[in-house]
Parts: sequence; C-alpha cells; structure tokens
Amino acid sequence: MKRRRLTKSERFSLRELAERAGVPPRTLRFYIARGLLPGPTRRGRYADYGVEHLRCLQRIQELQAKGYTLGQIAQVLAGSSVRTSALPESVVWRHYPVAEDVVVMVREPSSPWRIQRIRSAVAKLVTDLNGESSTQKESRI
Amino acid sequence: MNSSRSKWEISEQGLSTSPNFQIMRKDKGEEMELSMQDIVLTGVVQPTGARLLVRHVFAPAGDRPVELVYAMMLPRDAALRRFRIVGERLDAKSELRPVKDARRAYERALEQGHLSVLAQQYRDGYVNLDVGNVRPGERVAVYLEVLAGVDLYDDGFRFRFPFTLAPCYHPHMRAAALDSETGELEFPEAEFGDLLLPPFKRDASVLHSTGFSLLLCLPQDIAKIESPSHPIRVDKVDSRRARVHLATDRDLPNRDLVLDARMTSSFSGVLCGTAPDQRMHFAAIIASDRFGKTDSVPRRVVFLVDRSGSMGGLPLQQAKNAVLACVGALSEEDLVGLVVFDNRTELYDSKLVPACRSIRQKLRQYVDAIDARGGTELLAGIQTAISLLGDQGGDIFVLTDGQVAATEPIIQNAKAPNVRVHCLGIGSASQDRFLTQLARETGGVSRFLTPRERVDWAAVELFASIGKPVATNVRVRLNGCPDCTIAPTPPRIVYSGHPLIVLGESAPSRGEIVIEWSDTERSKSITLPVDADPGVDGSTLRLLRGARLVTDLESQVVPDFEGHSGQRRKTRRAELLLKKLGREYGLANRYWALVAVVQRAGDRTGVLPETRVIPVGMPEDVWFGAYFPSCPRVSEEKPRLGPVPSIQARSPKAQVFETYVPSLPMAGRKPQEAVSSTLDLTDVAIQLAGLLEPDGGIPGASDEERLVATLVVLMFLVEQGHRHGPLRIHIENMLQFVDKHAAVRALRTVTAATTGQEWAPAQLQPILPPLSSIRPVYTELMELLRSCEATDDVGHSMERFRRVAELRARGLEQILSRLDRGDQIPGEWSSWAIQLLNERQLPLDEVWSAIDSVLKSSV
Repeated sequence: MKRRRLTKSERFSLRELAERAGVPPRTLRFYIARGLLPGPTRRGRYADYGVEHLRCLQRIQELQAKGYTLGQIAQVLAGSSVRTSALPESVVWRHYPVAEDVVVMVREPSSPWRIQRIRSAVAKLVTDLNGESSTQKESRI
Repeated sequence: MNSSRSKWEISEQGLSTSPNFQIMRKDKGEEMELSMQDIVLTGVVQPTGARLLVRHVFAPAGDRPVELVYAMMLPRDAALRRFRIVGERLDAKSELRPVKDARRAYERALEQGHLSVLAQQYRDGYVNLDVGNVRPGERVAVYLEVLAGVDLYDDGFRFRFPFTLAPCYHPHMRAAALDSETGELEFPEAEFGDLLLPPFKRDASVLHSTGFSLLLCLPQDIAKIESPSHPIRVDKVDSRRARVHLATDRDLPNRDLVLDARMTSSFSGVLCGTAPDQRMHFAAIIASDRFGKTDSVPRRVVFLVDRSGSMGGLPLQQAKNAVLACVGALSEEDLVGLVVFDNRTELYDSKLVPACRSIRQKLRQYVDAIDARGGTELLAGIQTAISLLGDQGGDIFVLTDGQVAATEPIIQNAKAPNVRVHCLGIGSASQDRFLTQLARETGGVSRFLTPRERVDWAAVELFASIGKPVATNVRVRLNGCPDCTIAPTPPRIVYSGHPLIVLGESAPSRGEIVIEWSDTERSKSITLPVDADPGVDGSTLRLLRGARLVTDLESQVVPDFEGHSGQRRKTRRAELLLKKLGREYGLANRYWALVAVVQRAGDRTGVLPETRVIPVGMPEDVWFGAYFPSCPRVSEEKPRLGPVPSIQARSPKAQVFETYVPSLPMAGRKPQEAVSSTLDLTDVAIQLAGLLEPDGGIPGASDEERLVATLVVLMFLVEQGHRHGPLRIHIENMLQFVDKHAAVRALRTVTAATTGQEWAPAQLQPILPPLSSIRPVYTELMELLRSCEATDDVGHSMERFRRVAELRARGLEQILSRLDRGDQIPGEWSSWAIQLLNERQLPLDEVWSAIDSVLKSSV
C-alpha cells in the first residue's frame, strides 16, 4: 500500500483503489453492493473513485477491528435511522459482583472472543481486589 | 486421457436429464428470485475415493450484470481439478494457474465486461467459486470436477458431500444476525484473506435445491446401500455397482449428503492401473481382520468433550451418554482423564485417575452436569489432554462437532510423542476433512456421524476398537516394482474395523506388496500381488492420491501468528511442495486456482457488476442462536447503565444472571423427555453399560444383588444381540465379574474338593465341567446347605449362598456357553433391565424365579 498524500481531486480506478487500500477488488465490489461503500462517481468506462472512498474503507476497517460484522457496520454508517422498530430492543446485561462493593456490568451479546477478554479482565480485577486467595479459584474456571 | 474424458462426458449427460425446479416462497406463494438455482452432484464413488462432477446453475434476476460468489467446503482428502462453463452459445474450460495470475485474469475480464469464473481455495478447505458478469436473463452452468476421499471400513465405506457449510468458531470471528432469518459470519482478513462466507439462512426451504445421482462401485458384492441423511433410490446395475439417486424431487441445502455402502464381506486387495503418465498407480486395502490381535494393555485415555454452544441439544446429550458408556468399558487398571472445553477448558482432575468405583461415580456426576455454551477452543482442550497424559502418552478421545476454523495449527500442535487423537465427529455439515486429518496425523482413527444417527453407539464402537489395535509397528514395502514410491506414509497402527490403506506408484511391472508388523512374540506379514488391471482406471487412482497428498500438505501450512510460530521452515517446505504438486497433478490448492474467461458479443468495459454471495442453509442440527445471537441494534453511543442491583452474593466469584447460550431445544426436534418416553432399547443398553463398575459388575447394595443385577443386564444385552457389537468389551468384563463372584468361587472350591477336578481358568470359555458331572456334587451341596438352613443367621447367609450356587450349578455354564456361541437367550429381559436402570432396585425374588424359569426351560 503506497502512502502518499492525496489531493482531494485525485481520481482512480477500482484496481488502483484496491491497491491503495490493500483491499481486493472483489471485496470492494461486495462493499459497494452492500451499501457500505459509495459506488463510483461516474458510471461506465470512466468509473472512478476518490479519497472519500479511501476514508470510508478506513472507517470500515476500524469498525471490523472492533468486531462488527458488515451488516452492523452498514447500520453504523447509515446512522441510527436504519431499522427503527416500534418496540425498543431489549438489552441484556451480565452482572459480575466481583467484590462486596463492586459490580461489573457487561452488555450482552458479544462475540466469544470479546467475552473471553472480558472474562480475563474480570478475573484479573477479582484477583486484584481480593488478593492472592482467589487466584487459584479463577484459574480453574 | 481417453478413460477420463469418457467419464467426464458420461456424467455430464447424466446431468442434462435432471429437471429444473421453480422454488416458491412458502408464505406468499410467489416465485423466489434466486441467483443460484440448484446444485446437482454426479460421479463415481469407489472405496479408493470419489470422482465427482458438481453442477451449479446460476440465473440471477435483476437488470444489472452480477458477480456471484458461492462458498463451499471441500470434503475429506479433496481437491478441485477443473471446471467447465456452459451457457447459451458459450462453452469454456478452466485453466489451472497460480492464484495471483488467476485472480489477475479474472479481474481483468471483469473490467472488460467478459464472463469469468474463478475457483479459489482458502484455508481449511474453504472454496469461493466466483462467477463474474452474468448478464440479466443469462443462465450459466458451472460443472466442477472434484476428487474426494471416502471413510473406508473393512466391509464398505461412508461417503460425504457437503451441500452446506457449517458456521465455524474462530476466536476473532465476527458474527451477528442480520435479521431474524439470516446470520452473517466473517473471519479475520489477516488469516483468511478475502474469503467470503455465505449468509446462513435459518430456513433453507427458501434457497436453491440440491440433488444427486451417483454411481457406487464396490470391489465385492453389495450388501446394502443406505443414507442417514437423505431419502435415496438405489438402482442396481449389477451385483457390485449401483446408481443412487435422491428419492424426492428436490432437497434443501441444510446438511451433507451421507451414503453408506456395505459389502457382503470384508475386502482386501490391491487396485492397480496404469495412467497416461505411463506409471502404475495402486491402492492396497487390507482389512483389519487380516491382522491378528494384540494383547490388551492398561489404557491411558483422556475423554475430550466439546461443550461449545453449537453442540447444544441432542449432540451434546449423545456425547455425554457416549462418554459414560465408554467409561463402563474401562477396567480398574486403566487410567482415565476427562477434559471439557468451550472457550475455556475444564479438567475433571489435574492428573489421570484410576477408573475405580468411586471415581466412576464422580465422573458420572461430572458428565451429567455438562451443558453447552461458548466457543470451540479445541486446541486448548487438546493441549490440556496431552499434558494430562504426560510423557507416557496415551489416547485422546475427542467428541466434537469440529465446527472450528483455522485448523492447521490445531493439527500441527496436536502431535505429541505417543499420543493418538481419535475423533468422533457429530454434525450434519462436514468438518470431516479436518477431523480426518487430525486423527490421521496423530495415528488415531476418526468417524463422523450425522446427529440423526446414534452417536453414543458409534462412540462405544470406536472406543472398543481403539482400545485394542490389531497391529502395531506396521511396515510396508514393495517387491519387484522398480522406481516405486509409497506416499503418503502408511499408518503404523491398525485398529479393528478400519483397514490399512497403502497408496503409491511405480514403473509398470508385476510385484508384490509386503506388510509386516510385530505381534507380541514374533513378526508377522501379509503379501498381496500388485499387477495392473486394465479394468482399473489408473488416472483416477493417480488423481485421488494427488488430492490426498495435497490435503495432507495443506494441514502443514501454519501461518505465523500469535502463539503459533516456530513452524516456519515446515510451512515453507509444505508451500513449495504444494506449488510443485499442483502443477504435477493438475489439481488446485491454496497456491493454484482455476480460472476461465469467456468473451461474449457485446461485452462492455467498465460496467460494475453487483456482487452477491449465495446464501446457504444453517446445518439442520445447529441452533441458529449458537452463532447468531439476535443483537440489539448497534450504535456507537456508550451504553447507559441501569440501576446497580443490590449485592447479595457473598462470594467474589462472578455470577452470571443470563446464560450466554440458552439451552433451548433445537427447532424441529423433540425435547429430550419425549425421546425417552418412547423407549429405545439401544439407549437402555448404552446406559446400562455405563453403569458398570470396574470389576465388571453392576452396582448394588449387596454381593447377591450385584450378581443378580449383572446377570440381568448380561442376559438383556445378549438378548438384544450385542454379543459381538461395540459392547463386547462390556460383556467380557461382566462375564469375568460373574465368574469371579465370591459365591461362584466358593462353589468352585467345593466342587474341586469333592470331585478332585480343577476348574479351568475362566475367560470367555464356559468354565464349568459338563452338567452331568456337576449334578451329583450339586445335590450333595444342596443337602448340606439345607441342613444348615433352618436355624439362624448362618442359615440366612447360607440361603443366599444356596441360591447362587443353585443358579450356578443349574445353568450358568449353559448361559455362558450360549453367550460364547452368540445364541439368543430366550426370555424377555428388557423389562428387568429397564427397571434396574430406572430404580436401581430389583424385586429379587421375582428376578430369581424368572432366571429359574429360563434355566428350567433350557435344561
């Protein structure tokens, strides 16, 4: 991926966009088809892409790194106007009373990967709050 | 090339007759708009493998050109060879090119508006079939040739072909429900590149149709052909060949096709043919019953149970029953461990424990409490099991659905000295490829079942065969065949039921293959002639071996990431070999892709096609919510905290008020209670077997009760025909228990004292002298006992002794000899056995009289 300053007016083809962003052309087409990425500014032979596409791709990658699927990213990018329903969505929280005076709350559902991280963070917190005694207990979980 | 070409065309003709179906939306009665209409599988399946032609018909709706992506999973030992695109006024064949070149050609064709098809393989056997620039109204069929392996048994094989894809667990996967009917799953790009996985539909009836028509060829007469997955129609061509079709008009893409072919007897022989490369290619199959038996040594075994969310429902229940039944087959000298994993790993104990009575009881309780949740961190589980086995090694018995991605590091890290991993896969969508490799690379065996079958039964069967390998230290060589290669390396251990397979090639000649192994005392060998048979298609043998070599090598490509470094040299070597093999065999792999470009009249440059990924059905036994929790709408806002609940828990341990994966009954499946209300006698047998104590007896309050209970179970099992089945080890142990029982031994001592005859050591053989010689001793003994009876406590214990002695003398040896001959025991023992299972107590007097009457009728 070449890193050089782009001017706002610079335009390039899908293949060039793929090279610059390090995202294969098929993936770009798929993003466009799913409405994540705006289509080319012009249609036909001279279809072109610009710096706004690169920014958008960067945003998608950031959100992917957070664990969002493409469907969820589409919602985020489209703002909160997407998929409004009359009934508010339910939210599930996990409560971890980690000590007499501390409760950690975690919103569900998360990806298993995320849960794993949260668990180890909570385990660490428990250890820190309660000293050595509970270390063994947690490590067996 | 002639033979291969003719097959290719024959299969295609078969395809053209398959009808087209219109798929209607169930709720609205409207015609569905599908981008892909159907998948039809044709080809030839043999014990050496399958040569398949898969037709995909694409006819997308809309007014723009589209790019269609079909994602699929390769079956076991499989590779793509070529494809052909057929449409109105177009017909083109694929070219095998290095992935980069192939992609470039595909992209260029798309830019120029041409029709282009690319088949590219990714990690784990995932394949994306891209069909680019299909015009509105155009109908394109892609015929894909696939070489695939089968699961070979002594007397037949199981063939599996994936019509859908199982969602798989990856610690960094992204998964969410797009809506209530569709789930989306994405793997990290850093590991899987631009692989596109399909949207998973909860309801597969709104999707494309599937069908098949396969020719099954066996080397001996066919006994039966069945499918646990699909309704089939079997047309016999002759005694060794049959054509198998889908019996209904169409089927849904929500499970694998599974076909079982059985022959009338086990097969050993060498299939050998000459290919166009002027080499002789062979596959030697040696049934396990051609080997002897090895001595049973105490086992060291760790059960590794997958409790991940995707196992929820029946699969986990069956796996639990299976473990309990297998525990019943252990003896007191055996050492056992239990590891349960999801994204965490739990140990029953931090060391192996002897399979004694108290431990079994605890194991049972432990297993009962297992529920499904979380992800599938199989590698962590295997590593825990390996460390549990320690330097001495042993067997790991994995029960899993194998729904896990990034499998190469798992396979490579599961290898440890003296440790064999045996896999029992459970699932309706294939992870067959992975589990086969995992078992094979560690010297173990594997089986893969659909949840529609009895998983516990197969587990006990597999467990019985891994306990006593029929041959160890197996060596193979070829005599009289110059310039020969045997590859892949044949396994060193042969297990009962699973034949030894040797693949290789040499210059055309006549020779023999020699298989040697060492028994307890001396070395043994089998020799089979190797001679090219004009009836055997050498080029197919060659391609199948190529596919196998490719699959084996792919598991050695372990990309470098967190935690899995240090395999770089091996990976590099495997990569180089794969590049070489792809060219040599003309098979696609991760470095070679298939591409075709068709220039049509009126193709216009620069038209951006709309990219669509073809959805597949969620595998029918996998609960949708296990992977796709229905998400609250995602927003970037910080979550608002609700009121903090009052703290009641004193324990600092985390409390979970909402379980991660709710254990809901699977859609369309009977809840567990309903299953048990219509009593399945095999269930009873498995559960009874699971009750066995290490001494081989059924638990009970007193010695006498134990003996009776054991006899009841023994007779029930024999009545149900389990004498030679997977429960054979349980039955052996029970016979030994009966034989060693104190009362029986006492009687034996008395007999020896009065007659001067020594009783033969008791194994499976009837242990008593003929009934006629016992009769006088027995009468005498009874007299003696009766005289003691009337008075006191001594009399009471004597009464018990008398009963046992009576039973023994009057007919136990008959039962034993009948058991040994495999006869049916007359009488209805099932109700006793069930009563025993339900209440753990038997009305002893009634049972005694029942046993009595059976004995009387048989004397």
